[in-house]
Amino acid sequence: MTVSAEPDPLDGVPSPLREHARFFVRHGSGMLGLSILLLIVAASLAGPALYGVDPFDVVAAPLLPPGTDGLPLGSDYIGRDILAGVLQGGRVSLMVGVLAAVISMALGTTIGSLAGFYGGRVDQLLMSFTEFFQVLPALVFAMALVTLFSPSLATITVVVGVVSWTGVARLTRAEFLRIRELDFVRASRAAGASDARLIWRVILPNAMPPLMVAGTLTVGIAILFEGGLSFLGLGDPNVMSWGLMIGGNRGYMLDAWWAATIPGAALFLAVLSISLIGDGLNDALNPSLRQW
Amino acid sequence: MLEEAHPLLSVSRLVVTFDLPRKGLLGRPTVLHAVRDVSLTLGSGRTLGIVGESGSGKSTLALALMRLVPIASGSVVLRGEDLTRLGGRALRDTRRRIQMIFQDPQSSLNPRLRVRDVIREPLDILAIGTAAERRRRVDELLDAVGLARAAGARFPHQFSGGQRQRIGIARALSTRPDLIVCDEPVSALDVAVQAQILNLLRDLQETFGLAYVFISHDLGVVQHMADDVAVMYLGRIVELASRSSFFSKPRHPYSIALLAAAPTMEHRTSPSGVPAGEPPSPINLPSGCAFASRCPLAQSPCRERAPELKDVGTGHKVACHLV
Amino acid sequence: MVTGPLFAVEDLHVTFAMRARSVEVLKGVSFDVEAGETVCIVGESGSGKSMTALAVLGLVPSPGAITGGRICLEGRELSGMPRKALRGVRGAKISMVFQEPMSSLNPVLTVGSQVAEVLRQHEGLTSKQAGARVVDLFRAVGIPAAEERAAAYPHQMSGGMRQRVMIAMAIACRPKLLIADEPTTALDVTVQKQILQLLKEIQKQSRMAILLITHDMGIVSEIGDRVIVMYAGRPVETGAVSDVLGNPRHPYTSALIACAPRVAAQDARRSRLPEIPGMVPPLERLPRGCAFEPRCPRSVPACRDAPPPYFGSAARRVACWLEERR
Repeated sequence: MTVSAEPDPLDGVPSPLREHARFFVRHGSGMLGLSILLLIVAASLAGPALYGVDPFDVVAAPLLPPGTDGLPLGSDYIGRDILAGVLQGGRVSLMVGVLAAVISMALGTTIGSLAGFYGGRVDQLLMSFTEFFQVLPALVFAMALVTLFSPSLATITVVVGVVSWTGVARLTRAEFLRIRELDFVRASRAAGASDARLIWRVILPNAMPPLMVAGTLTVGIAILFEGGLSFLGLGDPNVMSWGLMIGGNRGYMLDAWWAATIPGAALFLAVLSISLIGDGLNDALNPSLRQW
Repeated sequence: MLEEAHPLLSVSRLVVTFDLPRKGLLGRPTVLHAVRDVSLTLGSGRTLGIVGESGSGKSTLALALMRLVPIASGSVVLRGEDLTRLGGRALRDTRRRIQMIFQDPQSSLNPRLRVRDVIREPLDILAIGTAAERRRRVDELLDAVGLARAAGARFPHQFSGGQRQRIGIARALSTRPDLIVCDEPVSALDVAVQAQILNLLRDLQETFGLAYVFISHDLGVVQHMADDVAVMYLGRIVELASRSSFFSKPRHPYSIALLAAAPTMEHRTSPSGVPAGEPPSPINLPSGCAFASRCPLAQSPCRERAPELKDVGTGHKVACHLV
Repeated sequence: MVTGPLFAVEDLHVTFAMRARSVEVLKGVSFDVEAGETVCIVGESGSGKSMTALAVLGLVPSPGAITGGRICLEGRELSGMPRKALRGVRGAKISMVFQEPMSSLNPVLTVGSQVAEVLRQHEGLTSKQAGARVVDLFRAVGIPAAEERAAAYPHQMSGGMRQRVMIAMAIACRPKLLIADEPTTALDVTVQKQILQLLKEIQKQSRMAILLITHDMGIVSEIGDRVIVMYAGRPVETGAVSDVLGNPRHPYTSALIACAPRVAAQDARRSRLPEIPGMVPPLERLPRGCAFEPRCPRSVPACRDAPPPYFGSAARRVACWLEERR
């Protein structure tokens, strides 16, 4: 048999995943975002237990500036500890954000992959369905849903997820349309792969890069959305969230700017860090790294 | 010589069409006639070369044989079983007998899989052998196509075009098929690598008794590889002959034009017999012979009636009124 | 009066400077092209043939740069030219046709307007004048129904038609030199023949010089007057086409000619194709001696020590130690 020359001796065998990770680590702003987010996560997970103050307890006079009376971040318009509120709010925002993003991604990738893979009538039907949701004004729709089903964390999470999946669906569909024409998909089909195998194990792994970026950004969107709903008073009234704090203390901006601004800054930092991570991922997973 | 009593593959009156999206709400639905009434046979261990330019339908024919595109009508009989009538489990089981090699080495291997998983995929899908047996088979196949065993742990992007084609060939061989459809397997390769791969394909054919349906636009390559030659134009076979008969005396005006256009090493061939213009649209088929619009010999019957493939002696078939 | 060749490249070096290392992709390329002649650069991927074309036009992508040598058109040196002046040369005196017309043409503009743009930019024609010239050009390159076609978009045309549009764009300002990088590789063989004939006709009428880059020896034999065979960033054999193809002296040239299967009227006995074993070495890891030595059927120990210089005359040069004896 003809023996060809050896493949280039590369040190190690970098899998595509490792290559992407390597690129991400080099990305300045991505790593910055990741660091901030890790800080926020750490604070939210350990903070409430460590600090030990119930955010709903009235512990001092209202609107005390940060640093007075042993209140590191001051008190709000009722007299509750702002730091306690920010810590618990972090938990709420992150939890709702991540879970809602999971729902959103699950819905979006399912609908997008089926539409992109099957094409034809299935695609038309699913895309009409998607367009219907896209056209709905998201906030109004969310408000309506929350009003229908009483506001609780679970409701909010589901509502946010249900309202933000359309972008992911379109993205998934576009990736599927592109990848399903590539020869290696045909090769798998020629070997007898079922539709399910093709969708899950052949095409979807190759569609991951843009979907991962979209998923990350969806978390940021979900966090903002939850903040918005809570701000309008549609959130779960039994949980302290950043949006609730901003909304409640909004009227006192001139006298006690910190009461609304501090939770606002927390929200801003959380979403910023996620955007930076998304940015870093986008560059790291850049198509120039793709091999086809 | 061309006709065998029990050929390995027998294609009869195959038709493949694609429905195109209509233009606007009220446009008429249009149909693209990719493969029109194609019949051919292939014996075990032999190579049928299919030649044609873009739009000839040769690649669609390849996909149709693999049942990767829907077939409108006709039959594809492989070892006595009509592939067009099979579905589900039966079709999957038959797939082990017929495999495919693709043209583009950049897109024919799943970039997220290691080479050994790429090669093993058909065995995994069709549940052939135990895990240990499959691992051994991958090593055998890497040897057979001339790659080092260490290649199995690497990813496709670490290999050159020629090496990727070898990986694709190893994958196609994994199920021990009787027939491999080769869709322009060397067109995207440098000429020196091309020679290596063609030699490899020939060696494998001898060792494993493979039959090839070998699709190419390059007549030189076809002359080197094929036992029999079929020329396609706008979805139809216009000439079908043994290799020696075709290259020594081509009969169809399009075949003659193709041979004249092929660059040879004779310095400065005169500008001869290149048909002007381009093939007609496969959506609005002309009545009569599809080549009539460009044929130097065209006459009125050519524009009215499409010619049938008829035998002009010793199994050499031509679809032309004037031959 | 211009003495000397129309176009001359002397000892061109191009290096890519990357973070970890720098790689020299062109190692001393020299050749000239006279008016009215066709010079073919032939080689495989990685030989440097396309990079030569890009370097000549000042289009070497970063992190690459020209690190040595001269490029002269009609005696004027192009290599040091400021970008603005170079833009004036590009398109007007030297123009280029690429392999893939679909990616060279703007998909959202009509083909007519793209060719007209070139005319307006370089020759200062008004829209109306340019429009009329476009129709003339389209007729000259054999595009039927030229007026209607000028209003068409690239995706509405076939590959052969698009390539004709590219050629029209390239000859619009009557360039002295046309560089064509694999112009027919993506086309059917009958269309390829039409396009090559078209180029020859244009050349005959206007004495335009053509530098054609290809991997196909058959095309070289069809259309070339002189040929440069490149391997691993260097020319290894140059000379008149009939000479080099009929009597190749470098082992790579003969191997390249022999390993491509060609149509023969008598039924060829189906023996094995001659092969060149192994692969083109990566440019970062070239052997110490001759770059082709590891794959060469006729190498001798001297080949491993140092890369061979050029032997022979200006008209016929071979970079092979085996030539030293002649």
